[in-house]
Amino acid sequence: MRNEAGERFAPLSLQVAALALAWIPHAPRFPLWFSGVMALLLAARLGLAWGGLGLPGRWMLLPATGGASVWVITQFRPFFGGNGAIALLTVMVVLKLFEMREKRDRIVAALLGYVLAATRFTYEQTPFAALWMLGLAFLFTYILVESADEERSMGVREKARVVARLFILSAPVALLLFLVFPRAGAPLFTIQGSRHGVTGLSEEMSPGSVTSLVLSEEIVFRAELADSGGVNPELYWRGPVLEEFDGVTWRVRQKGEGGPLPRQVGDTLAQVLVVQPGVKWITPLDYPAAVEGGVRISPDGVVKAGRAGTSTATYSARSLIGPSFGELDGERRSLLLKVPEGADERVVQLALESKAGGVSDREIADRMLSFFHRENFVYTLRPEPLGPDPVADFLFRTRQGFCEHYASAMAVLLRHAGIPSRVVTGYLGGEYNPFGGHWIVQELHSHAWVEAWLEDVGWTRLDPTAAVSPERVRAGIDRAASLTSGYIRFGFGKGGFFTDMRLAADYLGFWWEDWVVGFGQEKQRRLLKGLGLEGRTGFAALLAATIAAPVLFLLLLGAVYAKWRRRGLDPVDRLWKRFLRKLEKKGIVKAPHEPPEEFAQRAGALLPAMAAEILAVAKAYANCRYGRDPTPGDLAGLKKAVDSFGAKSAKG
Amino acid sequence: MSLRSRFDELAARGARKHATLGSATLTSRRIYILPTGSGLFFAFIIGATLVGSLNYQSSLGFLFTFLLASIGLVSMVETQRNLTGLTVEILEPQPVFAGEVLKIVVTFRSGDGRTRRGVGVFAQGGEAALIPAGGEPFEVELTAPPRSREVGEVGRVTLETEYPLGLFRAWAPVESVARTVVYPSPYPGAGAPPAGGEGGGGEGAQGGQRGNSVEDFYGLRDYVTTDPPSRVNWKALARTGALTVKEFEASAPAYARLDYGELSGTDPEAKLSILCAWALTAYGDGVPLSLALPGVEIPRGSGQLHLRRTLEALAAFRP
Repeated sequence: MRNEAGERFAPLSLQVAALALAWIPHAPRFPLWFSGVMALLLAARLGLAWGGLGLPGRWMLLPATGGASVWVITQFRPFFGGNGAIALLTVMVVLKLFEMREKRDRIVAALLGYVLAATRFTYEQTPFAALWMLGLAFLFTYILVESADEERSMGVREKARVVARLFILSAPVALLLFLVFPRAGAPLFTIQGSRHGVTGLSEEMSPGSVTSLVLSEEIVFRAELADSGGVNPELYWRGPVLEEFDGVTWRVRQKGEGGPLPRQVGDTLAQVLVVQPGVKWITPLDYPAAVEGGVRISPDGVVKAGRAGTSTATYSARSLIGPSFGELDGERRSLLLKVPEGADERVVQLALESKAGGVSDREIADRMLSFFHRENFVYTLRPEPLGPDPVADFLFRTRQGFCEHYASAMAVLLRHAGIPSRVVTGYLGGEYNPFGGHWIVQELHSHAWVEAWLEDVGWTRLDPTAAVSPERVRAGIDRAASLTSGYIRFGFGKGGFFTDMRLAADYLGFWWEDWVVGFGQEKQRRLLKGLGLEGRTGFAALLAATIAAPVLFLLLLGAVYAKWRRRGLDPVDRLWKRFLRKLEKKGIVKAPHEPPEEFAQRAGALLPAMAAEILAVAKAYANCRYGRDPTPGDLAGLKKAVDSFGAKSAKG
Repeated sequence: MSLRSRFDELAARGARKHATLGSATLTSRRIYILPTGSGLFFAFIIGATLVGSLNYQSSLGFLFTFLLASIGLVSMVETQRNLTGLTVEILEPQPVFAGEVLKIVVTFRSGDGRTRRGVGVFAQGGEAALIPAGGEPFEVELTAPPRSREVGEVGRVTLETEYPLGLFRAWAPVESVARTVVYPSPYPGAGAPPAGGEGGGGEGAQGGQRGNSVEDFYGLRDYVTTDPPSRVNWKALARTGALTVKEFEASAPAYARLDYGELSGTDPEAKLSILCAWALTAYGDGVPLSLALPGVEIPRGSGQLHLRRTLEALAAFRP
């Protein structure tokens, strides 16, 4: 065993450190013992180098690698798409460190480390992850420079400068490739990623089950709205529609497809929704007319998100913001009129009272709303618990609750009055981020309201909660809740510096998720369209651009360097050449073999008026070039003479 | 390696057009560049991360794949640039005897004062020497493996570098027509050269390898600068402190007569070897020598220059 390991301790420790830094972000996803074993191996490798011991020979490394691979494959299941591949790669890199004999081994180890660091992007793409990776890329490139510098002639600062220059020169190409490389729609093969816990709305509601959501600050999605021409739309974001009620719980309709989509009537408002991973529903503004991004709108206007992903998803949508629309068939009608058996008398009575006088459906609904407004209903997040008949209990005894209670009660009342109705859940409002011009919608904005089929009008949104506390509809729950008891939230919505910082950070986060992480086929098309290259977004064109970009850049770089080389000539020669160029413009060309002073004489004969000047320049040049001890002053004198040459005649 | 040597040959053919006697400045046209083994592995890594990014549709994965690829490509330009503008001057090496290592002195000047790092230079078949970093002009001595008797050219001197990342190797062959002269190696047991004398009698009567009668002491005279040190009377100097030179009776100025045609044997190289050994011996003894080769006649003469001419004639001879 040769003792060459001891000589290269510093570079080795750098490799080990870089590897450790590449591993650390992965560590929380792996069992502790795995990280421990890796750490031990790295320590052992450092120990070998420190102690000046040799490296194990091939006969030991090959079976070790084989054994380690088998061990990893058995320990991490399922292998592909999960931690197994990353674990195997880690083991390979660590073992590679034990096989470092020549320059090529060090380069291979550094490149493998780079790949290990990059695997983080399969599950996390935050700005922090990107910065971490940038630092690691710098470090690994430094290691490459160090490996190639076999005679160890470069100091740390110089190596760092080389790396910095490489980065600066590469950045534009990398960016260009990022923008131009053709993006496919779907992945090559499906990977079972780890699933997040599903938060948010659900397909059933028992008044009282939304409490936990209200307090959650977790962001559900962010939305950018197109300019709506001065009209501020009401920000009801439509989620699951609950149609079956058994007296306690509202549920999504269990069977049947539902009717056709309503006719599109009126203007649509365009939106871009950036939805957090793990969210089950995409909630555009009520009522969604079209959503792009590979998802369907159900006939009830509900959009379910696709496969659970690990990064945010961006969707473009258009929603109708105009007046009512739609249809209702017979089967639906009976479903939506179904009231639970044994309804409380008072509830039925109240419904009939609203109907009195043969008034229109609209009038019935208004009467119910004014009932909520008139009576002493209270909005609170901590209502009293309700008895076995929650609706009656709420309407006539407790008269306190939040959106679920109100929506449920109103829908039941409407049904008793013969108006088909259902509960729609979703979100209301959001926080507006002025930096990004987008809305941030959090779980605490979740809301429930009523959708009723009013004769001669159509589907209509009714929000009984609004009848109680108008504040809620416009400003969001924190404000409304501050009016009631039971509000326990602090901090959110406080104005001032910290809010601004928070919103600025959120804007960065939004922009990052939207444009960097979310840069896919659609964004690419949008970008190219914005640049006026709409026709050239085909796969072939993009591929050609991908190949052309680095080639062109390299040519450009080469040309720039060539130009630099010319400028880098010795300053004396540069000045002399400049002088010769000036004379060339006057038609006097120096032959290559002519010594400067002879040439000056000849030129002076041709241009008698400037003969003295020409001679002076030639003398100064000869002194600088061939003189015994040219001083900086001589060079300055030459420069002055050359610069001022010909100026007098121009003026004269 | 065969791929590489094939490229080397192509490159050499191109370089022949720029064969130089004096100095050559490396321009981008004379520099060839190829990925190293590490460079190929690097390309493989890029491919792997690209496929991974495609599969996971990971934007940042793409970004860093492209960053790595760009760094690699830019390093290619840097590798080539490490050589451009380097001026190389290959000096005519000192003549050596066959079997000895040839020492070629190469002078480098960095055209624009840039520091060059990690540039290796080697003559064909020789070991690589590293150019010291720095923008100042400097000299490097290359060793080329032992050659056989010839008068030839230095031939190809190659500069190469893998700076900065070791992913690409740029090399520039410089064909030098600077002369190399390799004398035949002196035959070890050649003995003393045959003497030639005036009046023709010496030629016929004295053949073979008998020494001539240079040993007949004649007298002393004062030392003059042209006298070889072997003739100085050192003992007398020790005694009297005066530099004197022994004079020998010469039977009509003795000289060594080196004649190729007179040697027996069939191996021309051996014959040349013998002649070489004789020439050296004669020179060492301060005896003038003459050389007769088929087609080449060097009349009697002495001195270092004469010796060189003689040896060179031996080196250049084609039997």
